[in-house]
Amino acid sequence: MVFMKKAPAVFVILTLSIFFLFGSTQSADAAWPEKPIKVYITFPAGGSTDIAARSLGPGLEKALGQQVVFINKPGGTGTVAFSILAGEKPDGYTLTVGVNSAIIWNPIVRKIPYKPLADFTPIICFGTAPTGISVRSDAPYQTWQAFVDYAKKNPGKIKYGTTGAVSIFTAGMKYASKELGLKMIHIPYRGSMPAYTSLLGGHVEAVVSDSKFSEYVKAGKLTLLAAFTKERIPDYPDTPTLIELGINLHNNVGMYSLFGPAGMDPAIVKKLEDAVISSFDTKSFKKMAKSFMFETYEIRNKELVAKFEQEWKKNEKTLMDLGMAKKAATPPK
Amino acid sequence: MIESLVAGFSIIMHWEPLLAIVAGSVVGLVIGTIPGLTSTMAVALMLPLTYDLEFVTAIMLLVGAYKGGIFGGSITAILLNTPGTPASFCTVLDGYSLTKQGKGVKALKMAKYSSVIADVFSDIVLIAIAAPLAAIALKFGPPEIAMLILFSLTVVAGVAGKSMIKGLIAGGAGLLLACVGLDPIFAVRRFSFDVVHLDGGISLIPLLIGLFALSEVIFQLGRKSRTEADQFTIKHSPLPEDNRVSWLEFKQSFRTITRGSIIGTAIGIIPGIGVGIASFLSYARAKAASKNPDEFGKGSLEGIAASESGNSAVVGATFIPLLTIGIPGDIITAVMMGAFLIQGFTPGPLLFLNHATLIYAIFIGFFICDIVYFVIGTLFMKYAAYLSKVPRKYLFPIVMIFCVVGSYAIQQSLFDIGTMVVFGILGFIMTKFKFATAPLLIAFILGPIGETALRQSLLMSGGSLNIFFTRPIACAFLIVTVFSLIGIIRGIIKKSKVTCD
Amino acid sequence: MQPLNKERIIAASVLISVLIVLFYIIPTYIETSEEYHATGLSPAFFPNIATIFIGALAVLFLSLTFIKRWAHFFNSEGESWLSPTEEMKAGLSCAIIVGYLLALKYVGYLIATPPVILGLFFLQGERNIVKSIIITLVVTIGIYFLFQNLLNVQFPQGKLFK
Repeated sequence: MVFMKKAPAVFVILTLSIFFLFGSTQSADAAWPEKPIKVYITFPAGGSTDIAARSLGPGLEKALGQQVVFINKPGGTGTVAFSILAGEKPDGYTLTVGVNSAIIWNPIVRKIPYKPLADFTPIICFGTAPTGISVRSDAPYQTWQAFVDYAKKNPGKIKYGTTGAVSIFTAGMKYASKELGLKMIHIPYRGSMPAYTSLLGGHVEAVVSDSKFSEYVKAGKLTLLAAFTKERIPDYPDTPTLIELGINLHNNVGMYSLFGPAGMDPAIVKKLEDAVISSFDTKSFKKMAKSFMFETYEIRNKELVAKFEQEWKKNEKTLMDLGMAKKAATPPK
Repeated sequence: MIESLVAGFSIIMHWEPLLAIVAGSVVGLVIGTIPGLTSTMAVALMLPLTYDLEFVTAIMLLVGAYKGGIFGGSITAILLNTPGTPASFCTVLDGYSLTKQGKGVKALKMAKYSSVIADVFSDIVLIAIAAPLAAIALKFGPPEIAMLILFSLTVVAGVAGKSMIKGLIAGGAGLLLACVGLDPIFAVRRFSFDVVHLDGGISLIPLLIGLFALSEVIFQLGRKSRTEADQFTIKHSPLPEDNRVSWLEFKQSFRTITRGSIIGTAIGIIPGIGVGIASFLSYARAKAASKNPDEFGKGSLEGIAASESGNSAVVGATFIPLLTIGIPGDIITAVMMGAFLIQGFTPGPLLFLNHATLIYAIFIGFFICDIVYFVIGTLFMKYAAYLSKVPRKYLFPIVMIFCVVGSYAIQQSLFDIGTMVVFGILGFIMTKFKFATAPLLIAFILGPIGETALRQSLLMSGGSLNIFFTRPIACAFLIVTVFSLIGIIRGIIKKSKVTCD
Repeated sequence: MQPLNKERIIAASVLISVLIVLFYIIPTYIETSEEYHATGLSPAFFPNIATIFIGALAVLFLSLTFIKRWAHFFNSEGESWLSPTEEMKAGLSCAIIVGYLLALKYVGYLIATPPVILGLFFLQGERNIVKSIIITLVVTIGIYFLFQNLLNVQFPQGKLFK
């Protein structure tokens, strides 16, 4: 019986040897993928990263002709899944969908056991959901300027909630406070729902968080003061971005990307890039994009690698200026 | 509310949710009936099955398993002197005595009637209170939550098993274990020991499966077969009056059932307490108020009614804090919270705001569960005895494999299996030295919620403790906490005086 | 040994662990710095409180064992536990379970599970080899299909085979 179990292994070894004998990488890739692909998701099931990742599933399976299995590996805001990925083989069968913050943000603040810019192949960045600053619709300040004026007149009284203690959301608001000379109290929350719940209950005056604000804005309970994005949110054309308002910072790390371990075959990387882009046309992706106000990107591997290098330096400076990090806690390479 | 109920009705009346209710109840009954397997395990192991299901179907599957599991535990308690779940500890006392007298079926029927009535009662309370409470729940900010958790932990302490000090130590250990991971306010590593997998904290389900299930399995794997445990013949009296509950007998126990329902519901609403304590309290109060207190423990139908109504009324009520504030009412609801999150629904006041129809569909599902297990329960009782006949020497090794695979399945992580094994061994050692394990788990679940809330409150107030006095709801809970502490201390002093005389 | 002394040793061990945690584990494994000021409470605050709480309880417990009035609490027999041989059997089963975990990592589920189940059956006293093997195979494969097909769980394949 043990011998029978070894048979598949023997078969695979034989097949691989034949490919090696013929020495052609081309034919090896033409065969990829030959078995199901595992994709780790860096956040728990049901969250936005999870839904965004799984929405790619049907498209990927169609393009690659193999089953794609999604496995949630939450923890450490993404760092656990990436640590595991760093140790996997770059054969294209183990990938991860995560938020860029685990690569170009969190490692600066906290020492992480992987080298963010060296241990992974960033295959493609496929989009982001907008984030913004919201307040209650019955508050006496309904524009950004009104809010800032109110904060200036009442130093130390405005409490704002953000998701995550050292996240980009926290950095954004701290940056704004610093630039405008505001004194506000920051309350970190675990997750965006508790933050929005607190806002609606009147326990904090403002919240900087992800796109979950939209259902409350639509219901008339919250007002979006400013978008924390590079450009205005298409669904909210009248809401200015923080950049327009003079605060030169936007959420550059909340973007979803597909990663693999370092050293992946460029041909396989290209196949995956194309497969992801082809998924944009599927029903499941479109449904997700609509409900999340998703902004789709197609930043492929080469561009993405360069972008990460740029953003790393930028974020390092931002975090050090804000005092949220002394220097990069993790060496990037 | 009426429109929501009607809309909810139309959602649940589809074959998928209904099938889920039946399937869940059956699985729950089976697992609950097998000694050594608890309803908590039933719910935890069924959790991975819900990933691909629709929201209402998924929740109904777990609720069915929950309710079925509790009743299944009562069946083994009565017929085999082995409580299938912590909820049925008190049912054993009178149930088995009645079985020995050949009146097992009578006992089972009384258990069933009390359970269903109490269940329906708490479901009605759930529906009536939930929506209005959810509206108030938005007022529960960090200070209120912090005080509520403080109150809960105090009450848990007050009923922490035989040795209160040891129970409290277990609770403290739970709090400490909950600190493993990233600090909620500063995102600083705590107790990670350079193991990356711990950055997210210790996973709840492997810990739970290890502490409650594996520890029991290890214990059972050690035990040599004793003759009575392998003796399966159950005497059945041929007399018809021994096989049913007469109207008179039922009437006599009616007050007990009512009392048990109220106690169970009240306990369920307070986060953290849970079924075992509810049934115990109901039993104790029933005995104190009964006309025949000496009968208790020797085969009193009233005793069964008390214990069963207590443990069943808790179920519906534990969903109240979960659905309104977002804090789990007990261990099983904490697992259910995971199911909610997986489906993308965060339990809490906003859930009512946005998805009232789904919630009401679930409420109606609760009632359907009650009906289903009333019917299935009767059928099941006949075959229940056969289930427990699975020889122990096969059963527990197989359960062990389920524990291992179940813990692995949640995140496909070998580390989780390791966690489960570590806590299995810990649970075994704790039980050996007479430390209760439930307080550890409750503290592990409630602790982080309380710590985050407390620290957020202090941030809000700029470091001053005043915030807990100036806000009315928070202050109210603080006062109640103080009273309950006083009550507990008085209870200890009384207990020490009484026993020593 | 006397139950009372056993309880004292338990309390003392808890106390010693508390001291280790308080003075070694917490300072070493919780990253703190002066920036974590009073309002948010330092990350070490809660662990410290919890540990001190446990320590205080252990001290209380220990002191109570010396008060004659409470002695009966500690001498109660309570529920029956395992005899020493049974405990050894439990310990052995534990060792098998830990071994199973390691085996899963290196040879995967399908190879590791049958010997473990057979081993436990044997330990439990089952001597009928045919019956054991049949049940083992049914359970191993049954669970495999249940989780693989119903839940899409990919079982560990074993590092040796990668």
